Amino acid sequence: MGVVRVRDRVEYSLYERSFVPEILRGLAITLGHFFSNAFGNKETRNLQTVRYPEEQRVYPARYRGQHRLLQREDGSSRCVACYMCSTACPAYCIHIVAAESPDNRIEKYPAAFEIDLLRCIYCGLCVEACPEDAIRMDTGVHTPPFFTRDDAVVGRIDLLSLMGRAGTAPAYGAQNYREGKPRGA
Amino acid sequence: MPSLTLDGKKVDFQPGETIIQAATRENVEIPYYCWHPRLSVAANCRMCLVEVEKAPKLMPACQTAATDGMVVHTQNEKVKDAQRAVHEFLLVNHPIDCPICDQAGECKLQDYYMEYQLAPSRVVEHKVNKPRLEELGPHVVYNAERCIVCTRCVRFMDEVAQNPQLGVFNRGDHSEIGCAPGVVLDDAYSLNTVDVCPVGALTSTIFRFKQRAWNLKRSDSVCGGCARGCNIHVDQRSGVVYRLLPRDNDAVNKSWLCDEGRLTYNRPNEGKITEALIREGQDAPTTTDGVAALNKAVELLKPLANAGKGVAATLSLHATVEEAYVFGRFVKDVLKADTIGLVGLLPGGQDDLLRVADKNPNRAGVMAVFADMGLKPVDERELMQRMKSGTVKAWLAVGHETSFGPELALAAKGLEVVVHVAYARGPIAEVARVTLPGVSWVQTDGTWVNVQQRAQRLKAGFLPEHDAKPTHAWLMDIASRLGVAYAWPSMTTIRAEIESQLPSFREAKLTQVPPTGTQLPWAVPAEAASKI
Amino acid sequence: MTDTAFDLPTRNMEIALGPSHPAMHGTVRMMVELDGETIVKTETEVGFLHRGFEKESESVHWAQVMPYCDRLNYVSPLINNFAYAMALEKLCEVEIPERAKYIRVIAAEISRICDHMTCNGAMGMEVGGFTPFLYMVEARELLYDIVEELTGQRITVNFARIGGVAHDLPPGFAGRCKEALNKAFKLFDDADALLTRNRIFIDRMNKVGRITKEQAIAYGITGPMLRATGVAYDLRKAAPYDVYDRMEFDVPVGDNGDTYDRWLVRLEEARQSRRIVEQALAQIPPGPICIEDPRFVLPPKDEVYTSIEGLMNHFKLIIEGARVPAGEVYGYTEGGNGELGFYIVSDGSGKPYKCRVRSPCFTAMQLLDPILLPGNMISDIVPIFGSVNMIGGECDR
Repeated sequence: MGVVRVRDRVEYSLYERSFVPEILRGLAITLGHFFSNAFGNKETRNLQTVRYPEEQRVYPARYRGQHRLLQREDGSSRCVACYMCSTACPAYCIHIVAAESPDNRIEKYPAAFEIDLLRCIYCGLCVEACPEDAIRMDTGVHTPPFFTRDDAVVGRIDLLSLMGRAGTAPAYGAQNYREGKPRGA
Repeated sequence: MPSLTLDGKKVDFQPGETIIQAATRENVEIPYYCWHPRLSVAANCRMCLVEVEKAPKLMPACQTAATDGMVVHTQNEKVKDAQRAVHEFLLVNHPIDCPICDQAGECKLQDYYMEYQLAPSRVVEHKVNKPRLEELGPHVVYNAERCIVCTRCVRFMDEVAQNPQLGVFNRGDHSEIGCAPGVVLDDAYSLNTVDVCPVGALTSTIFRFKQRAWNLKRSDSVCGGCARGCNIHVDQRSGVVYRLLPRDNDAVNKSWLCDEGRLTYNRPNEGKITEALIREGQDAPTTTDGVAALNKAVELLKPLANAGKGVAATLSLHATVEEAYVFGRFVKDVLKADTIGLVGLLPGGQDDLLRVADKNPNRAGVMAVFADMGLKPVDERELMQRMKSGTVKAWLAVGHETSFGPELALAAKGLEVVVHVAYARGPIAEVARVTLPGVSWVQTDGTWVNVQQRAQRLKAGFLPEHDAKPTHAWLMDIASRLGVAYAWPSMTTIRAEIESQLPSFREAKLTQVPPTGTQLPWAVPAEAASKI
Repeated sequence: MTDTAFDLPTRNMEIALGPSHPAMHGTVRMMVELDGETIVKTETEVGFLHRGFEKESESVHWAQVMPYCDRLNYVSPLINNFAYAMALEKLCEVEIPERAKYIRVIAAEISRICDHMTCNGAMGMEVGGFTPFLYMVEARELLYDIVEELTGQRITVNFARIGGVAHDLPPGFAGRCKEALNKAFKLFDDADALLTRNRIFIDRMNKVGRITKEQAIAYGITGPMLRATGVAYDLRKAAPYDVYDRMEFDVPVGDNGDTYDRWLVRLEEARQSRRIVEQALAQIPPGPICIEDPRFVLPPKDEVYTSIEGLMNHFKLIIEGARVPAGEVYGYTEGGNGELGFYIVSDGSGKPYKCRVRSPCFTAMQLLDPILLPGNMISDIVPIFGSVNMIGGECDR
């Protein structure tokens, strides 16, 4: 619960001054790594190289990757163009054009919903801001590369077509959905 | 002077005032939904309840007359509890509509929730369902679920518009606003009900879903729909005007604006040009950069500058006083035109409230400037006559706001030189040799004089884009290239010169027009009268 | 040496090191005046990574500043997040839940370990040992996996919120975290063993770039640089915040204030941080991870989806930003480089009026020109500058 003087833990004795013993010790460490990687078994091996793209790391459940827009049961987008994500985005990368929905009960839908992926900073504030659970970043893939800047602007149709990963819980939302219970109950 | 004590402070009031009127003057905030400073008192929302000492219950501040010596508390626990409770009751059946409701961002329910309620919902049951897309009229749509039945809209139509097309139907929980069978909300002032509605129950069909209120930037200007010159706010985003809203002015339009004026919101957007156009031969005009266009305009106007005959210059009646002055100086000093014309819109509908037949916002100002400068303008028919007969061979057309556009363009087709300065591509731009891009009134700093002979200030809401410039800047540029250099570095210098040079404006104090305008000492015509 | 050699006219050489230079961490430029190999004068220019953090903050809402904070000290982003959030919580006068405090401590210490691993690894690499750098970076990767599991990203975390943190610890986190720390520290110990007692390394680091206690205090230095001079000042002990007062850990101090001391202090600090993380994981209580204050915090999603009050609250907070009460506050944490502070001025609206960052390595950079570099050889610039651990994002903001 106090102070430790780091110099107490090291010394500059004959051992350090005749530097060969320390070099030999160092070599032993690196050779140890070498042999355990070359001839060891799965537990002792420490090879971190992932041969991408044949081998790929699985990103954790919360990983914020490519965005997607969710659909209702009938296939229409959940998004009602409320502009919350556009307003919450610190990079101003979401552009929405609202329009009258052909379905009278929904009233509003996005005629255009574009995310400029080159501006996006992958912070997830749009997901937090959505009041309809319409946008999530749980596709588990990172944004694909583009050849031109215009390709980086992803539109509504493409965003609607992406699927979430099976088995990943939604970033927010339905898991806390209570059926009309008052607070505290 | 009678006085009451409001939260410990002594406040004077006029006899006959209510507590809320005194409080609003003192900038003490009392929340309210159904009260409106320009409508009668209904006292049905109960949000303005305050504690009045010696009264058994909390009193509605909008209805309770202020009496001398009254002690009122608006910030104690009793009042705060009441505000929380009233607000909770108002929200019991309110639909979960914010994402699809246009009122979001300017909704009193949202604002007062954050100020006065801040408590979660205790509702367990299903909320009441009512009709959600009632088109009450061509411009107004009603959502009964969001309505709190404050009756502001009903009272507005009764008292201000003098056309009781709305009423409350059914009772209690089932109350709804509606029109009687056979009646439609087609009054010329119907969109004001959308303004007074504190929630998203009444919304405008012309603005529906176009843009979110908080994305819009607001500037102050004057409506250009007719000569009444109602004061407005212009809401725009990225150079596109989305809507016009009324601005308070006790002398002109109180807090109201007619539907026709609101519909002029799209004029700055329609056909807007920000790049110059040049037409070679009989081809269609093509875009070019500002410098090339200016050079071409100078090249075309140079030989006419001292020709003395055959040159016409017209100004739109939508021009500001300052633009009219600069135009007048230009045609006298530089162009020496022998035909001066005024183009404008034809007269339209009028009523005894706000709408005036003259649909040009600055006839009074432009005519006064011309009269003082000795310019005698001809009208459009005469102009077209002179063009057809050959008396006019060249034409400088400033402004495109005219009802005779196609005919003027046809008449001008045979002219040698047509130089056009306008913010939109109309029929005249199709025949002009050079079109220099101007700016619309929402991007102009200037003054209009309305039918009441009141000078009112327009403020530019956003800067001109690309090569667009205000009219006076183009005229000054051309003038300096033709050898006449005007020393007007700012609007203030132009205004000061108008005051000193033009007798009508001597007392006008044009450099200091306040936001609600200055009444000029000119004769007021009969059509300026209003019952509003 | 003949007399002739001394009569030759000579001139000092000026070299520009950087800003694009492998040894100039982040982007820093040093104009170095050399007499042979000895440094006569240096002129350090910072600001090449200035991105206008403080100005940018003035045009976005309070919550939208959080992703910008990640990008200040980008090797320990969680600490930046928490410093900002703590300053705001002071101004809003709210107290965060216990569990949130523990999560903040765990995340901050993991971030600190990453920071020290990066610094020490880079120091080793720059004096010639590439292997220890790779070991440290590999160890850091294992910890980045933990951070990614917790927050969703490795560096651009956006994890703190006013009133707590954004997400709870995922299930099984404690076990995976301990395992990652074990594996990481095996590599860490290997890198330590390769370098710390190596004579070449000691000769390059020991007695090089010394500062005294008085100098460090006079220049306002905090963090490992100060502790290497012998002053046992750590904000986590001197002015404890979150739950540091319940953690048992030691504060490592050096003797001489030289580069070797700074190396050793950072090594030891990383080990102490590991102790803190393990204690916190053992002590962490169940409970909420964020307060539910409708004035500043977005309401729980079930209320947003099912009630108008929650929805309106949500809308107002996103449209206007949290209306933090007007006032000024200084919130501080012990960052990887010292006292990282946010001086925040609020005018009562949803956007910051001013959000000033007190950056520890900016203060440390003051020492370079007057004290640390002149008189040393040019090859000493690299270890000395490496031990200052200037992070471009934090220094230049």
